[in-house]
Amino acid sequence: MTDTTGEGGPWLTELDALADGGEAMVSACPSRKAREMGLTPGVQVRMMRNRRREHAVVVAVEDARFMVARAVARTILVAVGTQARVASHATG
Amino acid sequence: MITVAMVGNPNTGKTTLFNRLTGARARVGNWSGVTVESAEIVLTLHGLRMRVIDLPGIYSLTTHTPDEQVTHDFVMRANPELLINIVDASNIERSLYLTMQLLDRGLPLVVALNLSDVAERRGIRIDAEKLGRLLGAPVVVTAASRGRGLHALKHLLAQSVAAHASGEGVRARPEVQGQMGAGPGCDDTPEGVERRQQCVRSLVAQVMRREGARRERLSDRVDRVLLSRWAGIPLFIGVMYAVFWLTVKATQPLVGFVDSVAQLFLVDGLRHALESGHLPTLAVTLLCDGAAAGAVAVASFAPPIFAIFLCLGVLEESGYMPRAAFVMDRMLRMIGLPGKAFIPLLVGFGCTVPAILSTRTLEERRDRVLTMLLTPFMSCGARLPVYTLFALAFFDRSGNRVVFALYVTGVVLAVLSGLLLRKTILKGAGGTYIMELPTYQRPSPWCCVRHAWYNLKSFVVRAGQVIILVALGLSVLQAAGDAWTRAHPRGGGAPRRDVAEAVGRALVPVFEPMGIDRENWLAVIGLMTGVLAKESVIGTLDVFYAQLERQQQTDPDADRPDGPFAVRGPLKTAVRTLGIAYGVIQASDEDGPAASAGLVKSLRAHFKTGTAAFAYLLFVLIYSPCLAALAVLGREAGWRWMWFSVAYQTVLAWVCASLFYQVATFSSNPPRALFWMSVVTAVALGGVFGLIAKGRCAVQTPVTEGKRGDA
Repeated sequence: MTDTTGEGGPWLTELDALADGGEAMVSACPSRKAREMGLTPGVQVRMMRNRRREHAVVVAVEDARFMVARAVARTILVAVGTQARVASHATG
Repeated sequence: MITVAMVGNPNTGKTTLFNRLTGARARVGNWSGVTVESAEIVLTLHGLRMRVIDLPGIYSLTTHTPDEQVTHDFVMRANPELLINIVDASNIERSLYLTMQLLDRGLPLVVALNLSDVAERRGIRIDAEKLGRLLGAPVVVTAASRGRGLHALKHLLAQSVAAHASGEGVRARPEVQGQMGAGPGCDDTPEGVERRQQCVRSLVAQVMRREGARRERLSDRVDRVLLSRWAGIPLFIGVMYAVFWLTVKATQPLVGFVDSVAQLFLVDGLRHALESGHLPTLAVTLLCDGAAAGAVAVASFAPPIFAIFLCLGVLEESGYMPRAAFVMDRMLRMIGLPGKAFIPLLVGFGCTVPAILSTRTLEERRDRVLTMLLTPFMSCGARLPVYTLFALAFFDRSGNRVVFALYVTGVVLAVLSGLLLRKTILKGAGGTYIMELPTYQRPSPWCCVRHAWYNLKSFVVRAGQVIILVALGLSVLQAAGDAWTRAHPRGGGAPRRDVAEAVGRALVPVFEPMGIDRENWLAVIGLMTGVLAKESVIGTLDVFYAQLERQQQTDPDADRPDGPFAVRGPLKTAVRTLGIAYGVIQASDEDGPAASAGLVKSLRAHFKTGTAAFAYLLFVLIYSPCLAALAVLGREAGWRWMWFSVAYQTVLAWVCASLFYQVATFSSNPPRALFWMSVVTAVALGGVFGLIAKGRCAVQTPVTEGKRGDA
């Protein structure tokens, strides 16, 4: 997790670190397919389901729901307002 | 003729719109990747003829999978005169990215703002007129599933085509790009993509507003249960069991009813008519015992086939398929496949051919090849009649459990084969993926029935052609054998033989370890014709057993009804039996146990035990895919993989069926069972070591070629 401002937020973290219900803004998405499907920088995402033992997470982007392989989710950087919103991380 | 292509994101209702627009009956479903091949139809609108093409869904003109390649190649190389770009009104921002790409390339298009009903329900309001102005392309609001906006779309289409014909063209002049300071172009660099996305965001901000706050949807609440590990997997197993119960148990009385009625009219009625017309005995035999008997076999399969496609239609329409993929993701990862690969496997329960084609939605070639090799383990609809008939003959009370066990066996063998192939010749982990979960929708009964009906029709036509031809061919062989025996009598009462019998008797020793005795050589012929189409197994057994029994009778016409052809009595009995089975009619003392149909009796006589019958069913489940599936497998994966599939599955089928039979009958003859178990184990180990050696030798695995995308 990275403090991008040096002043306590926003924090950058990987998408798969968001806990259920956690909201964030996509900051960087290296996967071209994910970008084309709507996970573009600047878009607000909400974590719908994230279990450590599962190989995919479910995220909401606007009105769409996506099943994203954890390996892809790990490459997507999201910015969250406060550290508390991701502190619990994924539930197991 | 002018070509009009339909292009848009997956699961935006393109095929539904295509069907509504053209009257076509292309397959639809509530998940991404239903359409993997282009479909075309010629349409006449206001006197103008046009070729309308439905293309697989794409998110952009950058391709990641073979189905996306189909669309890309068509749009970029076939130069269609007009594109109908289907935009999802409930998710407009994502859909417009593709629209912008099409406009950037100067492609002529009209925009269909589809799923407008869903958008309205979510409080999304779109100013279509302004959108059209900003895009510089005509926009029409549609809701294809309800038929809304079709008239306007047709009118617009006719206008655009007429404009093209008159040379005016319909090139778009996107106003929004001018506002954003980015001119038309094909810039697909990260900067270009970013600029295009900014352009889309600006566009959406100008034309869309949302009324009310975004609320939690019913789909999300349902997903919380269906996607959970503890409820998701038991629910999935429950759903599948319900499907098989409905398909096998609930349709069983109907199978008997259809069989009786078809036998009455197609065989007995036809025989009566032909004999009344004094046709030669040979012609009567060929038509009644060959072609008509084959037709009866096809007709009796109709109820379970209809039921399975109806159930699969409900699953596809509801949006459950991608959820099942999520639930099974963990299991598939074990065998090195992404969860997304579960959808082709699930489609395989209907038919292997579309299932193999569905693998086109997978990004990695290795994943596609492995999925294609595992798909035939899913019992397709064509194998169902074989199971159903054997279940009727040998497992009356536990028939549905036996059929379910066969389906589960197929899945277990697919998992084990996946593990083996992953460790040997198809090494690697499942590729990464991102997949959309569609909103659940209530399946439309009419759509599901229509889906089942078209599949049934296609099955009856396809299977009918094969079965009737096979049955006719076998009858000709039998008749030729009879004629030869009469012309060349052998002394000592030697039995007559024909080509089929000679082949069957030559091969039957190979199948002896799985419980097929030497006199049941017909079962081997059934397996051979089953490679043409799995349902042919039943057609072949039906024709041959009937003819064999007639030969064995001192009077071949003993079981044929004497006197005039009676319809009323047998029909009344069939209806009464059906009514009793479904509890509509109360059974009386006069109603004895239902008489078994001819083939059921023959199966009992020739296979003798339930153990031998189950071993035979195991072989039918596992051995080589049918010709149609092999042709598609060869085309999609390569001919080498097709031959591998034939050899691997046939050897595995023999190993499993033989091992099962020998273990189950161990106590009756332990030394013999031990001998065959040793042989079977040696063959299995030989195969495994062969695969390991092959895996080690492979310096560069051929399945990595053609890798696309950066996801």
